[in-house]
Amino acid sequence: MAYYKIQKGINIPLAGAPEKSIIDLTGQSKLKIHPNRIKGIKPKLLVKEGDLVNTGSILFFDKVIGDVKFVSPITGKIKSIKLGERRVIEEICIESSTKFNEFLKSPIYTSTELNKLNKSKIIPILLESGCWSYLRQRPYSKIANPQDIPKAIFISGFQSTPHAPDFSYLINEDEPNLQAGIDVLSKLTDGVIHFSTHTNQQNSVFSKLKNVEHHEFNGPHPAGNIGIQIHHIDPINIGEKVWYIDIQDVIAIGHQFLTGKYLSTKYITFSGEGIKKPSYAKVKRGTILKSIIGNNLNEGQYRIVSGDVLSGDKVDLDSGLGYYHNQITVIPEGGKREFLGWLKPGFDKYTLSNTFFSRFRFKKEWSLNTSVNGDLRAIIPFGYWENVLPMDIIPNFLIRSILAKDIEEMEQLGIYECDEEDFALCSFVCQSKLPVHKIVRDGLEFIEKEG
Amino acid sequence: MIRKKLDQIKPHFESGGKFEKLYPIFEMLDTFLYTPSSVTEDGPHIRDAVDLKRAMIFVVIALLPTIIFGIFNVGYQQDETRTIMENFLIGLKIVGPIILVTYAVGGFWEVIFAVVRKHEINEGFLVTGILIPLVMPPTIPLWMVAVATSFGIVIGKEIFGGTGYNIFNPALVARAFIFFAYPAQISGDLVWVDGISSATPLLTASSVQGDTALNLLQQGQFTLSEMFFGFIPGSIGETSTLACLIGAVFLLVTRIASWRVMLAVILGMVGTSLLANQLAVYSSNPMLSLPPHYHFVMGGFAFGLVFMATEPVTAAHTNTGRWFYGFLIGFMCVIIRAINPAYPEGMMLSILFANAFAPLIDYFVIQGNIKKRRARIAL
Repeated sequence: MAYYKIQKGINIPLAGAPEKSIIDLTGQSKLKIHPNRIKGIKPKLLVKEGDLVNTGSILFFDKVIGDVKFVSPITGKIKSIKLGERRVIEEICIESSTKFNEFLKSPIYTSTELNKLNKSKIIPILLESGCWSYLRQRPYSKIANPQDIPKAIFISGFQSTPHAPDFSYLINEDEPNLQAGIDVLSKLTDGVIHFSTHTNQQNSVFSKLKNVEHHEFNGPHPAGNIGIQIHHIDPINIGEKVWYIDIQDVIAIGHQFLTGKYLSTKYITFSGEGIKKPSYAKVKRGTILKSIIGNNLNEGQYRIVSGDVLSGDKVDLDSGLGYYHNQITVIPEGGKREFLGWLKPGFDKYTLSNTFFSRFRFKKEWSLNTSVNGDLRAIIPFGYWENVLPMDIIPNFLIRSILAKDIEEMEQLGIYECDEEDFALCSFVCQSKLPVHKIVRDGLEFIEKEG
Repeated sequence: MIRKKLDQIKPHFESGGKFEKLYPIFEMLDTFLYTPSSVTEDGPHIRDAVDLKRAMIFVVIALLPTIIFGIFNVGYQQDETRTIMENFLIGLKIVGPIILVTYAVGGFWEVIFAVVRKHEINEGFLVTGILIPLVMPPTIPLWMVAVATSFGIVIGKEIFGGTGYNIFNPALVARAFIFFAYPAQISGDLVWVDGISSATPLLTASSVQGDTALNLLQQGQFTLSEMFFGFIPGSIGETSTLACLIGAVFLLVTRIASWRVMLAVILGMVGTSLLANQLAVYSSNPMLSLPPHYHFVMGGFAFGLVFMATEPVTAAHTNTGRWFYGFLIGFMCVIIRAINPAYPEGMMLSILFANAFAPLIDYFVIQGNIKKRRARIAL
């Protein structure tokens, strides 16, 4: 087992951390899939309003790769399909009906049979069951192409974002599924499967996993970001591709092969100041947020984020849980104009910069809202970015090369190792209020289009 | 109340309004009085409380000890027998107009460029505007302050695109401009006080060939403690090493200034001056014998170290680069002071020199990073 100490970064002590108790909300009847929010796909619908679908029925597929299918997490009726501008599919709303409770089944294997399966058998099952869509690649963070052979596959056993679910607490009984999922995935790469855990995690299930290379990380966020782990374990060189997958989705894959059924439930946390009783929940994928947090909201102006507060999507209560999200975060909306704010001692202003008196207070939880707290300025390299980016990347010059659209320099400076979520903290700390994460995203999109 | 008034007049400054062109001025006033109302668009949905205004105002706060002491010392150098308050008031009469002229002239250019180029008025000017008076000798004619400020702001900063894009420290460009353009009136080393000029310690220490610097300082009646506390002639803000160090502590605790640069400058200076001390016996040059702690308290070393070398835009932009950049400043400073007889003060020139080299230093650091990445593929 390799050990990695992450020095740079920060665990932002956001108020409203979730309590460790799981509420079962899998009985909710309405859910929504938002194809337009899944990065890099061009969805082609296979259902229309009023159609009846089973759990595991294909709803749409991706026209770009062709074979990647997305399935319904419940049995029920397509209640509505909302199209946006240029017929972009914004949402597919499915309502469960008690009359139907059918599962579409795929072949069932025992764990010993699994080890004998080969790639040509596995890929069609993954594609047909909808599980393939969980596999994503770096660079570009888009869904993996079944025709590619990745250098390695990365699974993180922990998430380090504020209020992230603790997988070592959640995943105990799912060990057979997790191991089966790993066994399946190991057939897809010529390399190895890297599995990383955090030093603080006490989980015997994780340490018992076979068929993986174990890695232990220690340190603050973004240590749990897959991009940071890839960078430290086996960095991506020009032309290389690696795949990564969320640990809960590995369990879903294992479940699919061991039972033949689509696993439509997952664990999430809902947290933040806007939530009365923040905690863990077991939900169906795509459950609309209103039925998860609707009667648990505080009064006032709040922003609802599907995902974590650093890289999640700003959504409304009627949205479904994001396709890859394990969190719902609700934080106060900001924008209040303070008189001479730059001159205040700022006992209640959270900062990493030591320019407010708040640094003298050892508070466990800080209230943070959506205020930008300043205006956009030119890059002034105070060195804040470097302090939160645990990568051998020179952020300052990478960002400049992206702004200059210099592909060669971007490549030389390691843009393929980067993802916007790894630079979210840079945007957080930037005194010039530069959207560093967005610049990285634009750079990757530019390269993908031009190169 | 003020908020209401501001919101009331805001439409006049927005596009289509009467004073559309003057929007940068409105924006400056508006965000000066109230924090902006903008909220995040996507993740990260939360942001750090610090902004450039806060960071820049902290540099000004760090400069306060040097400003206050500088004003006092200007009066003190004229007549040591007066009370502290009297000296301060006399100093204020001399320094006050210099500061006002700098802010007025500098502000004028800043606004002109902001309006013409349609960018915001950058807070960096707050710092530049106070740094320029502090590196001027107190007897400088006001017109010269105006010319120097114009040169520093326009040539040193605005033609590159404003704060964040400049290559040289605008305050040092202003100082270098008068240093080279008006050498007859200003040597940069002599300080005139009401027509009587008195030599600075640096000039004294380098005045007689064949003697040692410490001897010469003794003859000139400069003690180490006097120079440390700053009761010596010199530019307005640079004389007191103590005041600069208070500012340094403040900047380091608040992490506005790079500790790497500061430490590297000191290391560069100490290393080079110790080497020079070894060579002193072979030469008649008195400055070679000056020990490091004297270098530290004399001239603009402390001021340049704390407030000029650490300026983030013109310094190296990589952490590794910052070490080399700082070391180069310390090294060059001693070299210019000791070996170049024409310029007894080396700090200003060494920082400008390092400013010019900072991009090159960064280039090598970047190449190192690129090479590492390439080596990975080769393996």
